[in-house]
Formats: sequence, structure tokens, C-alpha cells
Amino acid sequence: MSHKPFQSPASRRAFLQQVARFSTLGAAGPMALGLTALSKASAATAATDDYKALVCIFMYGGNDAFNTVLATDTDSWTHYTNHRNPKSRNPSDPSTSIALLPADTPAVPTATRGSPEFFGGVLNIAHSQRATANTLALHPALTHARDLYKFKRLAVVSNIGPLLGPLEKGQYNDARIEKPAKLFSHNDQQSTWQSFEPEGAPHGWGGRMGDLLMSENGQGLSAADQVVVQRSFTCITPASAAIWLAGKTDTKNSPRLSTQQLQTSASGLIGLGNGSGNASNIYGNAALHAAVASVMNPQAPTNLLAQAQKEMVDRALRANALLGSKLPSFAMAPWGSLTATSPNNDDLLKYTSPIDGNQRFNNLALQLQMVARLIHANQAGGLNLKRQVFMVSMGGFDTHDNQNQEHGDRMAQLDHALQYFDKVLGEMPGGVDRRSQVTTFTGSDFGRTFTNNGDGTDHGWGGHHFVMGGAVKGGDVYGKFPTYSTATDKGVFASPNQLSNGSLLPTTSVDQLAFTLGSWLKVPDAELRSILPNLKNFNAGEQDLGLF
Amino acid sequence: MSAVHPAPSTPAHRPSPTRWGAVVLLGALVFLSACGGGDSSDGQVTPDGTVVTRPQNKAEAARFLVQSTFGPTQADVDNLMSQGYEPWIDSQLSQPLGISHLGLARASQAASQVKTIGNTELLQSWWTHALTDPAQLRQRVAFALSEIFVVSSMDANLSGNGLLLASYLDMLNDSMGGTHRQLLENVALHPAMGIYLSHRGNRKEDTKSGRIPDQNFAREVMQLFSIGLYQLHADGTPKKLNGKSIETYTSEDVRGLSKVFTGFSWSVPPGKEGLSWDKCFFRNSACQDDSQFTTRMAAYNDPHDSGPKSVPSLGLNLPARVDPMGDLRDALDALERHENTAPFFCKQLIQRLVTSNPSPGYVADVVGVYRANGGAITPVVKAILMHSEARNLAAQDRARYGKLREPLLRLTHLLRAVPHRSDHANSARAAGGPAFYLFGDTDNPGTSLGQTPLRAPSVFNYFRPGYVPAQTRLGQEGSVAPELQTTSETSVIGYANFLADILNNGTGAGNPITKKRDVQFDHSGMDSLAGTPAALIDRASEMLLFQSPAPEPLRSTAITALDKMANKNANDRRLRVQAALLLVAVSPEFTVQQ
Repeated sequence: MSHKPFQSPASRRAFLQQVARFSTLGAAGPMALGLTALSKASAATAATDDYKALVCIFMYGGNDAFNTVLATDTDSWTHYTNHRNPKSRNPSDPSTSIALLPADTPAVPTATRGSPEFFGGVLNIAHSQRATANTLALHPALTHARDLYKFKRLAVVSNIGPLLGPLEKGQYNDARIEKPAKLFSHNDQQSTWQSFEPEGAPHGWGGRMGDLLMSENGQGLSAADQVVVQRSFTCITPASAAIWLAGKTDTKNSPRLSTQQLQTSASGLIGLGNGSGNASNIYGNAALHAAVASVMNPQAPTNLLAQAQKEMVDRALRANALLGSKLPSFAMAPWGSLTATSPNNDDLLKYTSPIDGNQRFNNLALQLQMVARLIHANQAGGLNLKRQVFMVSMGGFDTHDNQNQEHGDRMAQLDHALQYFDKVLGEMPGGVDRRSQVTTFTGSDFGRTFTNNGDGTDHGWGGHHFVMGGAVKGGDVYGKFPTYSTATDKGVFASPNQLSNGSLLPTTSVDQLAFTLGSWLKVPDAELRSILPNLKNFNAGEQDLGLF
Repeated sequence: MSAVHPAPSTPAHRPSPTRWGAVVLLGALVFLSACGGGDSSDGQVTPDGTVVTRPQNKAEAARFLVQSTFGPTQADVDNLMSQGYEPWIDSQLSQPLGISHLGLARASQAASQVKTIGNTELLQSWWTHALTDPAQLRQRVAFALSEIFVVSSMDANLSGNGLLLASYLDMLNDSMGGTHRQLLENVALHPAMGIYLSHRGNRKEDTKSGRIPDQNFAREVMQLFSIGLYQLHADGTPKKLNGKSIETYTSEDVRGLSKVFTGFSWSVPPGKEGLSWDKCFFRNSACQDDSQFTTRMAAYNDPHDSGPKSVPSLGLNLPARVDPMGDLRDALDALERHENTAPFFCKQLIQRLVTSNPSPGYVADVVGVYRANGGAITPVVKAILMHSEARNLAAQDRARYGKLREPLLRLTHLLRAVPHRSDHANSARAAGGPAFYLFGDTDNPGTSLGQTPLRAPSVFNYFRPGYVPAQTRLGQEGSVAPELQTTSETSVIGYANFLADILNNGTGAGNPITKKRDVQFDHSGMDSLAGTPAALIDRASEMLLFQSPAPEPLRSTAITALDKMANKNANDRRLRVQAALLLVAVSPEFTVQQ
């Protein structure tokens, strides 16, 4: 793998080796015990409260949609293998085939690890034909996702990407017609997916939804606590902070009228001092603790860099004071094993890597564990949050080379994380099924090229994505599934959905997905429309994708 | 250091005899003639006409050294004050390179008796050079370059083989004596970059099978290493058309350039020249040698696209020819000629060393020096550090000037300023071998620095030069703050906890012999001040900020807290000393560089 995602999860590998140091201290003992007992109650019952959360899984680097959701009808498959298996048209080309194999091809465990033969055939999925008449399938590593799809808790949104409005292929090369800026550039398309603007955007649509919903949160709390709950707990990421979760802050006139994403570690809250969420001394001394906090969080620094840093310190201290003691342990059902001494050695958070067959730690699952713990902290800790927006992420999708192994491994990781999160939400403490309260969706910089560059793919545009949750009308494919073609000897693709190198010209915009998700989250319609700049350019009847 | 072997089986790329083709230009620093030079008998005339010779006080000296080294020591400050800025810069740049990163990584391998050189050996070399190499300016600039021309041990192929990254760092060091154009070529042909951006082993298209060349390097060499995404004025500000920035290249350009970067792969070791080309190109068992990890990639005719190539936005039209190295050089020449390249590079180097938001005039002045010197790097470094916007703090808008210091540079500074010892380095030195610190990764933002050398999450570095911090006044004003991109609620608290921990328990990797962390602080020199909090905090401030008395409100806050700490025995005194150092090291005066 050549080039890792721009934003990797904040907690990297080594991070995880040390998490036990603080996360063991993050649990509120008595509460955890009580709820563990409760969770042994009989089968889960659906939650009845009005809580709703939206979770974004961002796949940094640009996920190869062509090998994630596949069209398996003869025509599509031929075009696919034409471009992805070099030997299909030139037996003497020695480069690597990155074409997956037809459904029901038996896996060959002795084949090169991660190779198409090793994985075996793609996994067929049924659908209502609203997006295409063609037959479809998933990457062979997505076995659990396929099951969730069957159980109708997972849906596919096809050929989605940033668009300013519907765009025909003929218009793509017309300089007079505006297109999203800086297409194919990682950092800019990450930003555009998340905020409708290239790098440098002031806020993202997850954060804006938080802004519009925050007033419903923390009702009944003291005024001081309510501010923290609304501003810092409405939008939380256990990954790196990202523009998607940034609210719209007018720092001069009304600094308090927006959410401000809280970045937590994926394994606990870190308090100043001994490492737990509610520490109060350094070197055993409370006065020193207070002095360090005061020096880091001075009244009014004149320098704006110091000001920005100080604001982060201030948020961290306030958030930890309110949430630190409420966050349940990682070693608690359903999100963790009671025997785990650290999330790192919790088998629930490990997936089987197709690269080496080993059980590997799944950082994405760890982040989703933290989301589950935060959801529970709200329920058990009386924070009265009714709406929350979370962001988690994983990297390593920029598969310019070694795509079979790298992409296969990422798919296995995603598959495990989706299954883990679905299962956890289905049996939250107290035997509550919260799947219908939480909708999880994927995003990525862009899709990739249809063409093979030797053993990988390059930057594209449109891609296919997943939406998961109990409220989702799963088991179906939404949007318009693209048609594929084989390039002429001049490199021209006849499909109206394919640009040069076979990259997809999206037919569904991120605005439409955001509108659909925001409507489910009950963001008031007019306000929701106001944060989606391109939505108005799409037909009224197509603005909502019909996922709920 | 291994020599560079010319490419054998294909026409001749003959690298210059220095390690990475760099021409050493020391002593040939040319400032803009437009300044009318020569009218200052005792001072350097900076591009904007200001004469500065030497720091007026220790704080000024320290401020310069924060920009140009891994952290000021008392000796550095004294040295700089007696020498003056320009002689110090010249003497720094003319320091003969001591042991190379490769040399130290090898010594580390030999000492630990591990089979191969991995990432640990590289990190030990990085920290040892940062903390102890007398050629601080070179090492500091090489680090800055490593954050522009990014390769990363997050790539398993690079973390698994420390030779690649150690050699890459040496290459950056060596390239400093040459031009930006030479640096670009060294970067493009280094096997670490070849692996990282996947152009190593990249082959011409196969029209029958439909396979196309990998576009990774072609895209990123434009976006990140040379011209950037938007057309720029010479002062680094974007050109506008109808109010909008103008993009510098299109997908067509990427496709054209991707054909140039075909046919480059592992070098051919001595004695392997007679093998068929594919043996070394694919590095199969007949052609494997460790020298390939530290030697420029070779050019191979067969897998290179020998057809005509067009990169319209660069005005590049290459004829059909069998000349991979010629194609590459012509393409890099075209990138170097582009009007963007000087401002794109100079502005980023200013951001890495001095301030996040340099004025257009500052950028333009440095760009002028770049152009007057054919893109030579050392004059650019000198111009950056000598510019009045770097030197004359009183004239700056203190609310917006400076940069947040990235965590690595805070720790190197702390370690250079506060007495400590590495048991491992001491014993290695005693045994007559090269001394190095034991250091591991510092990835964890919650319990460590959240940053490890040469381990950015992607080729986009740890943070972006154009990062606009959302929801801050700075961002709302349109200013950038690259280092804020990796600063979070977790990292700010994690930093304080980490410092409290290491001041008490030491830092670095575990020393298997002492059973302690290898780097242990020695606070004994401040022990006698522990009973007088005011003197103690002033001394800590003096050590880290070269400012005494300590700035307010730090000073009063510290005195109050230190007074409340026990002071009965040696351990109490040590905790007070640690507390004083901790308070200075978490203060904005230390974390924000002005």
C-alpha cells in the first residue's frame, strides 16, 4: 500500500497498546456492575425513547467501489473483467488481476492470500430493481454485511459522490458548466464529501445538523451543564477531528450558538493528571493540577494560536468533568468482554485478516465501541441527549498497488466492524435494542478507476456506499446503479456513467444522502435544506433517497 | 554510505559523484542584488533591506534557535551571541556531516543484534541526531523537508526496512547543499518514495489488456512536491479569475505525466549488470542486494513508455524516444520552471521554520532569493531566517504571528535544554562506538506526543500547510494553522500528562540493562532552588524560554502552586523542580513559537 489516508484514526497502533492505563479508570464501578446485571435480562426490547444518532464511517483514501458492490450480469461482468483482469484480453500481460471471481466460485485456501482465488466468488444480493435491473453482489469478505443486507438492516446507495447538480457526461468536459472543485484530490474530496467545499471549509454537514438539533439536548440540566452537553456532546468523534463534524461558529458575535465537535480517544476519556476522566492531582498534588490547568487555559491569550489551543483545553476539561465519571468501562457487555483487561486484548474487537489469516485488532470496531459507550453514558448518566452525531474513520483505502490484499483486508475490517456495531446496538444494557435509533453510513474521498494500473487503481469520483440501521429499509439498492463499458483503443468509455479510466460520474449527490439522513434525524426541513447547498438542483421527487 | 550505482542495462543515467547528486554550494550565498548589498560593512542585508547582525539578548538568540534548531541550549545561545546570525548559519551549514542516519541505524542494529534494520533503528537515529548533532540547522531543515516530501513508516514496506527511511533522511540532508530541482530528482528516484507513492515498478500501458500506468506519483509530485493545485503569484497568494482560484493541472496532465514515471525500479547491484532487465526490475531472487534500498532507482528501457507524452499544463511535449531518465529529467525541469514552484516551496519552508501565515512580502522576498540562486536551498534557508519578518518580532502583529510548535519539536527542545542522560548512549560512548539514544514511537496522542518522526498518516503529512482551523477566530479570519490539525481535546491533555510522566520517570524506550526508560532527567542542578518557588520558576523559565523572571501569569500561578507542594526531603524537592519545568513546558510561551 502506498499512500495512507490523510486522516487516520487518532488512536494508532501503539496507542492501543497502552489504553488500559486510563480506560480501566474510566468506569464508574457501581453503575457498571448494576447494568451488567441488568443486561443479563431476557431478550432485548426495542427502545422507546426518542433518542436518535447518526454515525459516519469515513473510509480515507478513496474506496474502490467497483470491488465493493459488483454488477454480475454477463455484460457488466465482461466489461469488469476486461479492465480488471489483464489476462482476459492479453494473456501475456504479466500484471496482477484485480478482478474478483463470479459468485459461487469456491475459495481456494491454498491460493495466494488475499487473491481473488483465495477469497472465492462474490456474494450475491437480491434487490428490488429500483436502482438497476442487473444482478448485484458484494465483495467476498463482506459476509456479515451480506447477512445484514438479508436481514434488511443494510442498504446500498449506488454511484454517489459530490455533485453541484445532475451532470451529464457530455457536460463534464464543458468548461462552462461548473463541477465540484479539485476532483480526484484526496484532501479536497474528503473535505467536499464532508462539507461541500474543498480543503479549508469552515464547517461540515454533520456538525451543521448538530447545530440545528442541539437545543433538544440536555433539557432539565443546570445551565452550565446544558452548555457542555449541547456544545460538546452533540457531535463527538473518537477518531481524528474532521470537518464533517464542525459546526458553524461565529466567533465574534455568537460563539455559543453552535456545536463544537469533541475529539475523544477511542478507548476512554483522558483527564488531566493521572490519566482518568476525573483526575484531580499531579504528583499527588491538587494545587499543581490546578496550576497546570490554569497555565494551559489562561484567561485571554492575545495570540490567536494560543487562543485556539486554550479553547481545546477548556473544552477537554469541561467535558471530562461532566462525562468522565459517567463513561462505562470497555470491559462490559455488550460492547466488551468482561474479562478484557484492555480493549486491545478483547476478542470482540478482533477480525480475521485475509492478508495473513491472523486475528488482528480492529481499530474501527474500537471506535464504534466508544460510540456505544457514549450512547450508554447518555442513557445511564442522565445527560438527556436526544440527538447525537458521531464520526469514526479508517484509513488505507488508497489502493494504488497491492489492491487485492489491501482492499480485501479493509473490507474484512469494515465487515467485522459493521457486524460488531449492529450486534452491540441490538443488546444494549438493560436488554434494549437501539438499532432503530442509530443509523450508520459510509463515505469516502472518491471511488477509483475501473482500469487496472498493474496491481491497483487510481483516483476516481463516484462510488457505492452502505447505510445501516434498524430504521433503514435495508436489503435494497438505492440511487441508480451505473452501466459499465470497455474502453475503445483510444481509451474512451461508451457508458454514460463512466469518464476517463472508467471512473464513475456520480448520479446521486452527497446532498441527497445528507437530506435523507437529516430528515430521519428530524432536522427541521427548511433548516436542513439551508445547509445542503446543491439539493435544490435535484428534482423534488428525488431529493429523498427513500431509505427510511 | 554506499555509493550510487549507475543504471546498467539501459542507457545511462550517470549520477553525480556526491551521495545524492547534490552540489555543495556553501559560501556561495547570494542575496538579492536589488537590495543594493555592500552598503553594510558589518551586517547582513536581508532581502527587505534590514540589517541584523546578532541577537541583542538571550531571549532573541533563543527565539532564532527555536526557528533553526531542535531547541536552544545555553551553549547554543552563547555561541550564537558571540558569532552573530550569519556566521552561525554559515558555520552550521559547513559542518561536515557526522555519522549518517544510515550509519547510526546500522550501529543500532549491531548493538541490539537484531537481524534487520527496522523502524526502531531509524527512530533511534532520528532522536540522536535531533538531540546531539552539532549540525542542528541541517538536521532541522532536513526534518522540515521530510514534512514536505513525505514518506512514512505507516507504510508497512517502509517500517519493515529501516534502510529505506534512514537513507531517505540522509538524502534530504545531502540535498540541502544543492538546488530544489536536484532535490526533486533525488526524491523522485529514491526507492523509499518509489515504494511509498508506488511508481517503483510502474510500467508502460498495455493497450491490449487495457492496463494503464499507476498515476500516484504523477499526481502527488504536482499537488504536493512542486506546483500545488492553484496558480500562484510570486508572493504565494493565489491568482484569481472571476474571483476564483485557477487550477494548475487536469486529469489529462496526470495521465501524461504518469507515462513519464514508468520504467523506474530497483538499482542494479554491481555484478548484476548482465542479467535480463526483469530480474532487477522485479527484484527477484537473482537480483537482491541491500544496496538497492539505499541507492537511486535505476531506469529501465523495456517497461518505460517510449511513446510521445504530453503534459499540456506544464507545456511539456516529449517526443517518442527510448530514454526514461531523459523523460524524467525533462518533466522535472518543466515542474521546476513552473511559476508556482518557487512560491509553493518557499512558503511551506517558512511555515515549517518561522510562522504559519507569512506575509506575501516575506514570501516574495524569499522567492526572489530562490530565483536569484537557481533554486539553491541554503540561500533560501538563510533568507527565511534573516528576513525582518523572522527577526524583528516587535514589528509583527503578535496576535497572529508565529506557529504552534508541533509536539516532536517541543520534546526535542525540552531534552536539549534540560540536563539528562541516556544510559545507553553513555555506555556506547564508553565502549568507543557511536552513541545513540534508545527511542521508540511516540504515536499515542493520549499518553505520548501523537507524532512520531517519519510516520505521518499519509503523503499529506501530519498536517496540511493550508489547514484552516474550523470554529476558531483564526480560521474565521482566513488564517491557517497547520499544527492545529493534529491538536485535539485528547492531545492537549495527553501532552501535559506525558510531560508530567517523563519528567518523573524519564523517556525513550526501555533500557534492558537498567530496567528503566533510557533517557533520565537530572534535576540535581536545580535542587537548591526548590525551597524558593520564585527562584525555581524563574530558573525553569530561563532554561526553556531564556527569559527570567518567568512571564506572567505563569510566574504567579507557579509560585502559588509550588508553595503548596511539600518540601521536606530530596524527593519533594525533585517533584518541585519537575513541577516548575512542567508548568513552563505547558505554557503558551513554550507551545506557541513567536
